[in-house]
Amino acid sequence: AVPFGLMLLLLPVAVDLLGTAAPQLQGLALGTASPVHHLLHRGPEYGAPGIALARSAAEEPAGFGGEERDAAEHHSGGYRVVQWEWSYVQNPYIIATWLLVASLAKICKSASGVCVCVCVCVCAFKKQIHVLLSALSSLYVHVQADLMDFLLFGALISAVDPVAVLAVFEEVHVNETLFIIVFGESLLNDAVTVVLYKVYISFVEVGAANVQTADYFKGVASFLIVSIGGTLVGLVFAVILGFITRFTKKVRIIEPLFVFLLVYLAYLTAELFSLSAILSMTFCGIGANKYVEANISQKSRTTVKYTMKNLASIAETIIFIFLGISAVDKSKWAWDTGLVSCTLIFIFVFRAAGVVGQTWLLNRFRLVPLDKIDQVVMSYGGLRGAVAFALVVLLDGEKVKAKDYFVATTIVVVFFTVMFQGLTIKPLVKWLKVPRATNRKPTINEEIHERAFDHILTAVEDIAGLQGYHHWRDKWEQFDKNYLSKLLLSKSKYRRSELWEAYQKINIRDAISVIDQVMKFNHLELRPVHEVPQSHRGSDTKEDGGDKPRRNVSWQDKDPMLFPMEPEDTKAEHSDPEKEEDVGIVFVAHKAETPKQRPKSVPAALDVCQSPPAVPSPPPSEDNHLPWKAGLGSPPPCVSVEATKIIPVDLQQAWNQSISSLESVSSPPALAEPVHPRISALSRLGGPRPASYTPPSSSTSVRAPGPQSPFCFLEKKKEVQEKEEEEEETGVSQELQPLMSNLRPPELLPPHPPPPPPPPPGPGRRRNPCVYLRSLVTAPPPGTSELHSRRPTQL
Amino acid sequence: MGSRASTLLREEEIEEIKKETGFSHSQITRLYSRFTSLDKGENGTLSREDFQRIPELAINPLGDRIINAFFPEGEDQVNFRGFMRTLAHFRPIEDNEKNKNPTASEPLNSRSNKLLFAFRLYDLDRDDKISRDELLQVLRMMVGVNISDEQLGSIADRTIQEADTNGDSCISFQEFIKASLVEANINNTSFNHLTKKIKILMGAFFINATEANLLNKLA
Repeated sequence: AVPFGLMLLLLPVAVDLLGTAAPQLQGLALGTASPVHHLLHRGPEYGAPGIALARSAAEEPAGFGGEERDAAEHHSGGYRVVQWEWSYVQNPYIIATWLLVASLAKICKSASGVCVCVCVCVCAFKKQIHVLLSALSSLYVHVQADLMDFLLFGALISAVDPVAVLAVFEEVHVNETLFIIVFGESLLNDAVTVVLYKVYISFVEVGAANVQTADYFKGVASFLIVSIGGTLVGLVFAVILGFITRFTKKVRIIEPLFVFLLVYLAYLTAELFSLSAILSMTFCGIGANKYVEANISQKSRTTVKYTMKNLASIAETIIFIFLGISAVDKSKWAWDTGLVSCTLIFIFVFRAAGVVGQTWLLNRFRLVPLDKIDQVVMSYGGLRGAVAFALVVLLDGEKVKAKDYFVATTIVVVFFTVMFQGLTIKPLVKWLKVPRATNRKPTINEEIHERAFDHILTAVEDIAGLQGYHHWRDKWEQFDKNYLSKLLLSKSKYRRSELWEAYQKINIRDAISVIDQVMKFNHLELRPVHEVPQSHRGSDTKEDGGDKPRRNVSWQDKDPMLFPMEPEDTKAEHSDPEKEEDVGIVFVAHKAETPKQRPKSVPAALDVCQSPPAVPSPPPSEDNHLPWKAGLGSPPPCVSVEATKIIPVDLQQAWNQSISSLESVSSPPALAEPVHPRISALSRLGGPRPASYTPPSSSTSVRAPGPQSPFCFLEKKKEVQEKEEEEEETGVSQELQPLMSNLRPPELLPPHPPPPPPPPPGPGRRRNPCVYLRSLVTAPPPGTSELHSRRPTQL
Repeated sequence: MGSRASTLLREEEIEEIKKETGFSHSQITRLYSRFTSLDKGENGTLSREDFQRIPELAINPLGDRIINAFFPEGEDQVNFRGFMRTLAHFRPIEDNEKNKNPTASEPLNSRSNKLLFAFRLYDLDRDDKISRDELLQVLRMMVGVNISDEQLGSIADRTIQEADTNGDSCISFQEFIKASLVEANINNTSFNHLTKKIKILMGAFFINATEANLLNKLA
């Protein structure tokens, strides 16, 4: 995003200078710049640049639309079939085009793209540089400003900008602690900056001589009020939001609307009382996160997340465009070398000093101290951005005589920090070997042990009489469990267990990644199918591709969002009156566009199934070779992650098919790699099963051992459907439907003979990949009870 | 110790405790006053009831086990030395301590001793292995009533499978260490190995659903 920001800053410059070819555009750029400034003076404090831009664009029609309309009307007076409605669409058109160009720049973010743009801009800039140099020589005047003015300037120039920081750090991927520190600082800076700015503005207006000591205390008090007040407003709205989302089960589609509206209201309310609006929004989000995330549906979560990201991107774009435009508008700033250079040096030096000093203080209380490298990154990562610029532009030129100098300095500072520091921070981070964010896979062990350690430490703190971190955190969690969650979480979510959620997430993630790997390897795509309606259930078993339009969405395995829906109160029966609108994600394996020869006998295993427990009629005999038809009227095999649709699946048959065909085809190369413990671990996935699982009666017939066990790797725990009647909250248990839940014995013989029993399972060297996989799916080591061996395996 | 008169901890005892546990002087005196405040019977030792009187421990899922950890094998009373010895496991690790006395045995608060403490909480029968049942018990304590038995069972199964490297369906102390240390847990290359093999086999399996559709139609 930094090269992008760079480009955006330079774009208007380029536009300006190349604008001789397009007078209209240039006029537009400059024209927008000046109205913008005027508007800012009248507008709200931060002068939302986006709105200003829009408004300025709105003022354009006076200039251009009028001409065109006149020109147009000269042509004919009668009815015109097609008209040039530029003035009508001008405003949104211009804005959209700006955004489009800027976003296109993001696409060519590669080095070559940036180089091209920079070159263009530099060439265009040459002219500007001449202007600057001449200005330098003529304007070498010392700035007329006194202490108050400089205090004011210091207040606004020292604020670290969250937008810039976020843009930079998102690329760099430092470890979380560092990111939180810098980004949190920039967020909380808002309160400080707002207060200081207001305080100094009032001091400046009153005049330095009239400021009394009481005013200083009032300043401190107002800082406290602004920040704490903003936080409280945010928290109040967080509670409201959580409470509302508790009841939105029936209106899932407008859940994102609630989220947006309430957060926006939190912002506006804080502004209303002139409290810190950013803090209000931040804490609204922080406070509501846990409850809202649990209450709203998966799709609403996705909607909120990506809408906000898009909006943020737009806002960031507009801000940087605005900055660039303003940089070009020479009438608004005045250059003073001394001020600029001193500012640049001092912000760097004093930031570093501040960071070092405060870190020293903090390290006395921290368990994990912040070391030198962290401090370097923290001081280097303090980018100034649009906040400083907006504030400086809002200064009253009458009261603050040196405003133009301040504006110029701010522009230079912002340019410098964003471009130079932003671009160089990544190499710096690499050079310093800053610990990066780890993307490790979560494991169930970590979850369990983390919780256990927390409990242990809490207990020890209690025993020792310390009221340490764990003590208070535990107290908070008790409070949350007993009061807040009851109030803010919908009933079914309230009873969920975090450990179980974590477990399921891990399972699904594993399964998805493996399936996807396989799919990719075979040029298949696994596409989730959304909202296959219940009415289609009966006909689904036929799986005719043409009839029902399947809304397929391509999907990559790295998508962590595909966590299944958690319908409330759902049972296996479809007579559920409170059927979840949100049906979650069901997978369909489709062949990708590249055709590939497949042995006929190898079955296509995964179909979309919404099939009810009611079993479709037994297929005609010629379909026996299709494994999903082979069972006694067994429904097609399904990978159904969606909870309400439990589809008994006979993939075991299909599995045997594939094994046998593989062996006959012998297409895959023999892999002679030693079995990694992971493989053996997975082979034991086929192992222990829940003891109390009672398989459906049909599967009680004899099972051949070994390869007959379902492909455990893909199995999820089939929630005991029988149990669902007892449990009111079955949603959790229905998360993971087994791919192959029922171990239906191969009653109808497939055309190929069943594969011979495998060599004994267990880790060891294997030559035949089939045997490999068989070793994965084999029954657990003989030690385990046979009761286990029947169960579908859970991941 | 023993009599009430030793409410004032003797200097040499403080020194001994300091050497053994690494706590500072002030920490030891503070913990001693905590010890005496817990010691309602005023006999210089703590019993299980004394611990259970602490209100927060009652709601702690692992509270009972932790209390047990204070009491040495088979005893019902713990004196101040034992109290401190157990608490010493939770002192933060300080790297500079290692250099002080290389010949001494591993300090009580070393990482592996901390993990051993946690391990012993799971492993009740002290056979140096966490079996599935022991794990289930701990999980049940931590999780409460929201999860059914078999759900818990599947979690336990997976936990063991993740951690177990030698295939005995139990978690030994070494495996426990590795499983709880974050970085050592997932070896990406091994997973790639695995998936490479899997995909070859699964490729044959997950064939072409559209072909199946067509065939279905014909049926």
